[in-house]
Amino acid sequence: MPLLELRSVSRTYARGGGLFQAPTPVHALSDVSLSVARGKILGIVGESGCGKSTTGRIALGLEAPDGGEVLFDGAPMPPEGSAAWRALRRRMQLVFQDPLGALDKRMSVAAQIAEPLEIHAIGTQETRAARVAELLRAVGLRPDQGEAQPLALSGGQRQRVVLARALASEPELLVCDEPVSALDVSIQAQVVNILLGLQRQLNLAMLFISHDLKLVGTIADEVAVMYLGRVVERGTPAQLFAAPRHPYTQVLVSSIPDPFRTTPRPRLSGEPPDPGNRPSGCAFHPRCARASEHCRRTDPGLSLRADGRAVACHHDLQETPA
Amino acid sequence: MSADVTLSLPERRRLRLPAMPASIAAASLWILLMVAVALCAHWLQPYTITQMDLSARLQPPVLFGGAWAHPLGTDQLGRDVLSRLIVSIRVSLTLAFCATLLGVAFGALMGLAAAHFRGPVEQVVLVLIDVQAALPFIILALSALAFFGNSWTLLVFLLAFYGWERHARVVRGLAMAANGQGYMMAVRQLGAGPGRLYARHLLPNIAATLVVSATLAFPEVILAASGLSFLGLGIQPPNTSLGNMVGYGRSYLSTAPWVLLAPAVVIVLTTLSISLLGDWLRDQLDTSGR
Repeated sequence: MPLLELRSVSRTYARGGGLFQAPTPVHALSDVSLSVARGKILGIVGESGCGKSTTGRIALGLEAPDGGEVLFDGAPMPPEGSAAWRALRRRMQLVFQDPLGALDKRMSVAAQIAEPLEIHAIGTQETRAARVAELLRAVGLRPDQGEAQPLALSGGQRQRVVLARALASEPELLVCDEPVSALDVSIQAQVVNILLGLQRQLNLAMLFISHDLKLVGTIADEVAVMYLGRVVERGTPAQLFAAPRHPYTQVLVSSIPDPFRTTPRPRLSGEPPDPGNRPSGCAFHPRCARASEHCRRTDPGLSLRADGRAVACHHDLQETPA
Repeated sequence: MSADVTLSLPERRRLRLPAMPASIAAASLWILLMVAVALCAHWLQPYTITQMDLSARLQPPVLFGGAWAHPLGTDQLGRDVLSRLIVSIRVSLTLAFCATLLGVAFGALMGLAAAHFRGPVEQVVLVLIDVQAALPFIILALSALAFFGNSWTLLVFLLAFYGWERHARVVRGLAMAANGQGYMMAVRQLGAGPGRLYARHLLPNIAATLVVSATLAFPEVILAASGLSFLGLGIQPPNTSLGNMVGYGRSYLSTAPWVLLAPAVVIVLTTLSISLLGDWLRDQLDTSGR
C-alpha cells in the first residue's frame, strides 16, 4: 500500500471578478493521480504555474482538493486545522523553497528546531536539547550554531535548519517544494546530498517538486511531468530520459545541456498558457510540433502503456516515431 | 581591500544606531521627567493638594511677583499650584497608561480574533470597529458616566475604549499579512495550535508596530481624559488631574491665568513629546525594518 495516494485530485481557484463580473475559474489541478511508497522518491517537474506546488500542498492537506481524495497511510486526510490534522503533522513535513521566509527571524535556530518536539510532546526538556544537537549534526551544522538567529546564517545553512526542523518529529513523508532552487549551484549539491543521505537513513517517502528535470532525474525513483495542472507523463527517470514519449517531456529532456548533442534541439514555441484560459482538447497543442486536428478537439487523457509508464498524448512518440 | 573593510565597520555600526535628532532627545527628556515626577509625586509635592491658605489666594508665580513659598503661585482657595500639578501629572499619566494598555490589549485581541476566525467573527469585529470609529467619544463617555456615576475603574475602561479600534485594525492587518508569510505557514504546518502560533511567533514579530500604535494613542488618551475632567466628569475634586485643573482654573483666566496655564503647558508638552517620539519610532521601524 502506498504511503501517500492522490486519487484524481482537482483544485480550482477563482481569479479576478468584480462587482458585476463573475470570477474566472482557474483549474490549478485537474484529475491528478499520484502515489508515493515508503522509502521512495517521487519527483514532480514542470514549468511555473503547472500546479506542482498545489500538488504538494494538497498532498500535505494544507489545502483541500475540490474533487478526488488524498489518502495518507490508507486513511483520508482530515480537514485542515483539526486536531487530527495537527497530530498528523508529526508524520508528514514540508521543506520550503525560501528557507529565510520559513524561519522566524526573532527566534534562535535551536528553539525553532525544538518546536515540533514541543508541539507533539516528544521527549523531555533535557532530551530535546540533545535531540536538537543531534539534528544539527545530522544536517551538517555545529551544535553551537543553534544559538544563531536565522539572519546570521547563510542560505545553505538556513535550508539545513529547515530540514532539521522538518525531520525533528521523525516524519514518514517529506514534501520538498523546490528545496534548493533558491541556493547557489555549489550549495545545491551539498543540500541535496544531505537530503538524500537522510532520506535513505530514515526510509523517508519523499515528494520532490522541482523545475530542474536533471536534478529530479538523478534522485527520484519515479518522475511525474506536469503541464497545466495535469500529469502528462509518468515513468522512471531512466525511461523518461532515454525515450521521452510525450512531446513536452521530450522538449524538457532535450533542454538539459548536453555537449555531445549532434541533432538539433526541439524547441518550445510560445508562452506557457494561462491556466484560466485552457486550450481546447490537449492543452499542449498550441505549442506542440505534432499537433493535429484531433489534438485540438479531444483531450488525450493519461493512459497506461505496456512498459509501466503513463502518457497523455494522441501521438505517442514510441508508436509514431518522428 | 582590508583597509576598506576596517573603514566600513564603524560606519555600519553608526547606521544601526541612528542619531537622535535634538527634538527627539528633548521629547525623551521631558517624558523621563514626567515619569519621574509621577513616580515620586509623594515626596516631591511641597504641600498636600487640599491644604488651603485663604490669606494667600491667587498668588502669582515666582517670576511674576510671587514668593518662593509657592513657586507656581496659588489658586482661588490658596492651594499650591505646583503641588497640585505634581499630583495631577501622576493621576493623569497613570490613568492614560492604564487605559492605553487596556485599549491595546483589547484591540489586539479583537484584531487577532478577526484575523484568526475570519467569516462572521471578522464581520462582527469590523462592524464594532466602525461603530466605535463613528461614535463621538465624548458623547459616549458622557452618557456612560451620567448613567453609572463616576468611578476610577469606569473611567479607565471608557478611556480604553477610546482608540481600541485602531489597534484592532492594525493587528488584524498585520496578522492577516503574517498568516500568508512563510514562517507562520511553516509553524502551522508543524502542527502548532493557535496559542503557540500567535503568542510565540506573531506577537513578537508585530510588537514593534503595536508599540508605535500605542505610543501614538497615548497622548490622545491624555487629551480625552483632560477633556472629560474639564467638563466636570472624570476625576472629581478633591482629587485632581490635569484636565480638572484646567477646568476649574478657567474662571480665573483673566485675573490668575497661571492656575490654568501650568497644567495646560504640561498637557501640551507631554502629548507633543510622546507624539514626536511615536512618529520618530515609526520612521525608524519603516526604514530599518527589513
